Amino acid sequence: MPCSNKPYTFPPAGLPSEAVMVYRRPATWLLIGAALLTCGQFVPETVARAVIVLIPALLLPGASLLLGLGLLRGRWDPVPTLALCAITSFAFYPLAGLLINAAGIRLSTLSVSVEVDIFLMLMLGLRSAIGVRQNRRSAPLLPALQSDNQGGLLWAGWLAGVAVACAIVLVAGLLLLPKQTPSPFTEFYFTGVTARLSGTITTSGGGHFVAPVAVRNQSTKTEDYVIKAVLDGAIFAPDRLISIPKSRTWTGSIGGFLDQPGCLHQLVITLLNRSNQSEVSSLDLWLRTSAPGCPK
Amino acid sequence: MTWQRRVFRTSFASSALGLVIGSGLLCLSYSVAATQKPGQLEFAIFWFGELVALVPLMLRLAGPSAARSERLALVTAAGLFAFVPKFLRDPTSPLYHDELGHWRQADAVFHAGHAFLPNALIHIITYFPGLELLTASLRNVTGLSTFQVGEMLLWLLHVIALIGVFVLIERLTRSARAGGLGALIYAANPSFMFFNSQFSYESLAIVFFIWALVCVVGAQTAAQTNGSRWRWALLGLVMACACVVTHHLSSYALVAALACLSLGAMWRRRRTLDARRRARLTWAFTLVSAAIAGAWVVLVAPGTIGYLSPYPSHAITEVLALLSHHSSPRQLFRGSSVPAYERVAAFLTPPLLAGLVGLSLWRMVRNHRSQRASVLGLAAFGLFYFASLPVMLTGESQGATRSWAFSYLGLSVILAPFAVVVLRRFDLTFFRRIAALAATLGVLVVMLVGNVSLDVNAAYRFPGPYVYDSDTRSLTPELQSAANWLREYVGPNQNVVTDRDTGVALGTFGQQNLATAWAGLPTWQLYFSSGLPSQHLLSALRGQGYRYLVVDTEMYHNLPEVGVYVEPDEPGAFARAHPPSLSALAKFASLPWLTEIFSTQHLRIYRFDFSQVDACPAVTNPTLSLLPGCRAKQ
Repeated sequence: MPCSNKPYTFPPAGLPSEAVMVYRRPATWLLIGAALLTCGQFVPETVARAVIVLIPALLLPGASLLLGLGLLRGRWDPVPTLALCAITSFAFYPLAGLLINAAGIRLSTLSVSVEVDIFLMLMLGLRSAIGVRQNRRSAPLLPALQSDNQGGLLWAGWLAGVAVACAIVLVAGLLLLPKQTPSPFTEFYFTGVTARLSGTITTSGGGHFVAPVAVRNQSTKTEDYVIKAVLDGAIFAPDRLISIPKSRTWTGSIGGFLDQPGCLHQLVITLLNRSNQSEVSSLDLWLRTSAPGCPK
Repeated sequence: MTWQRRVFRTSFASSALGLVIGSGLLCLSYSVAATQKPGQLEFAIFWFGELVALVPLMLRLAGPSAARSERLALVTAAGLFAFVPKFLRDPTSPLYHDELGHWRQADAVFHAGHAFLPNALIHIITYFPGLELLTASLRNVTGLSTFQVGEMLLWLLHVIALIGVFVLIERLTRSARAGGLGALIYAANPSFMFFNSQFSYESLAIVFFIWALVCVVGAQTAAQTNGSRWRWALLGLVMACACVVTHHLSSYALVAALACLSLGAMWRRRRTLDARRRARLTWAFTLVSAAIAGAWVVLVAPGTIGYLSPYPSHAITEVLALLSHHSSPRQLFRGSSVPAYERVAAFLTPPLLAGLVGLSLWRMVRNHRSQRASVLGLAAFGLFYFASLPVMLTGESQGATRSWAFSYLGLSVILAPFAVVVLRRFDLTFFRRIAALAATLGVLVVMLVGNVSLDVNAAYRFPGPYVYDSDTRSLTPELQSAANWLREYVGPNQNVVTDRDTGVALGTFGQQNLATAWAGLPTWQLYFSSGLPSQHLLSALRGQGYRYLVVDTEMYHNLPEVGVYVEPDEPGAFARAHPPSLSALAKFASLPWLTEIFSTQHLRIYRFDFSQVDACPAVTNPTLSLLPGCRAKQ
């Protein structure tokens, strides 16, 4: 029966908590991990750095805490203990981050490495203190069970093999199977100061006005376009024909004379598909003239 | 060769093959969804892949002969595999609404080097920086990108969560078989495959929640003599603190679960001196956790109450309205394209669970003297699942499904030992064992299929053709490119007015500050009205420094998938039959205070110049109603 009246404690009665000392010198391993974590920061930001640093970064703070509490002694249950180390590390980073945030220190590569190193040193100190005060060895929180001797390594190997095989299948599937083709589109926009102004453009009446524009062809083939510019309903500039290869950007300008009467004019620049003359998109620009009689 | 060895070898190979073939089938289902017309095929291949991968695992975990290490390996494999669908949904960039908000926040925290930065999409995450601090820290030391760190974390969190459930139930029941089954039951909860696979604070906090409970149960079950008890409690406190600073709802769920555990422990306190000590320890842990959660809300995140309180209050109001026949229940799966078998499974799951939980509780009551206090406490917590079911019939149904990620832990504690007891009775002969395993498998499959279909819609699960305001399928390269353009050409942190759907991209990829529409800033007027917006809105926009307006023309051709164009208080929210009028779109071309600086086939970016609201152009179209300056001249 899974549930019984017997008082139940860990480690289970009859199971020597230190039957086999397979996981020796955890402190040494943690110091090696800390060295890797710290020295790994000097490797340029490449895959190599991630490979060197990742496992110490994921396990070191949690393992340090377990070590400090004297819980990595004896023969511990590897999978749950590793999971506990990892989740404790995940808890450590936000809590330590809040501490250094409160101390006014910036979260950076240096500060994170140092916080982990300091924490490890503190935990090593705590472990020594507890070791001196308690004249006995504490049992691991998650002790290994006898049945784990049977096939533990075999299943670890199985898991690693399955994970690698699945990863290969997933990568192959993502690379080889047909993917969604994104819908083609064209971006039409003002460039330069016209895009960044904080208000309406003011220009002198009767002068020449140039609007810098750009067209980005985000399709899978070369596209031919026509740019038409109309000021207050009248032609402002001659049509411009452009051809843009796929994923390329054309930049140019549309210029003309602003000689219509009035103080506020609307310049509409339309981008058309050259083959069927259908409108792709358009830009609207309001031009305020500084001619006499117009509001400043 | 003995039959046990043959079974072992078969299981060894079939579990591995199943996972590999299942991964391939999932890839195929996503490819079909991305390239074919929406239909049922992608769902069929998806579930076939899931079953090919999970059935051998389920059979082995439910069976009697697997060693503990094998069960742990299978649970770990199940955790790894459960993340595959979400990984395939967006293998190159974040996609879901919430994860986009967190992604931007983590990026901002990494670059700024400190927490508590404002967030344009989800304001409350400013005050719960756990996930962002973890991501930024790992990004600092590993040199990986936010997205890479996020994917790695989520994959690990899935595994760690299931191992946590395994350890919890194993400690409670002293049965690795129950632990494995419990992990499978928990993995069938609605949020596990998709919602808690996204890069969001709950995905991290729920694992703290699970392990905090593992620690408390560990403290309760640990021997008094060797000092393990206070060590477990200390570790649990670390988990609880991390949970509090990471996610509001998870920390309150943790306090609720701890309260249930404490009540269970109190009920049993008179038995022995040690039981009294355990009860005191559990209460102390609960009170300290509640105090930490409360202190965080009061001192750091006072907006949490205002953020969360509308959901339960709306849910209670709507349930009461349903009970008093003042409103009709929400129709589940209305307009949904999920297959009929998923809907059937979704409707079957609650009664199935009710029956099984009822039987299990009946057995627990009969043997209540032998039950651990922790089992009783967590079982009581699991019953919240049934209390949340009526909420499924209201507009707050998402709250109910989200709570199941927590209450399923309690259900696992109820059901897993019961399943083991039942299966043991049938272990004696081969055919009875097969029948019992098949029944267990059937229940698990129905739960998994039904729960997944309840949690997320088709647009969240699969790629496919454009769906306006679906968060996922409306996040097009065109929209991302426009957001990038605004950031590069105009700069980040501009005050921008936009609709809900476009805002997701502009707030994250574009790094802009988005207007939050409400009655005091009714930005929906800009989109819905064919005339001028109110003077109140224009003054508010001018006063608050809004500089850009982004318009998605798809809005004028489609109804929103989530029911709102801008925000839930807008006129016609969740009840629209037609999109806004095209004349509302056409008006933008006549307004002299809007300069169109960027356009694509579907997107337009305008620059505000409120000084021109009363201007009168030299040439006016027949739209004088939009030009108060010209009307004044007339």
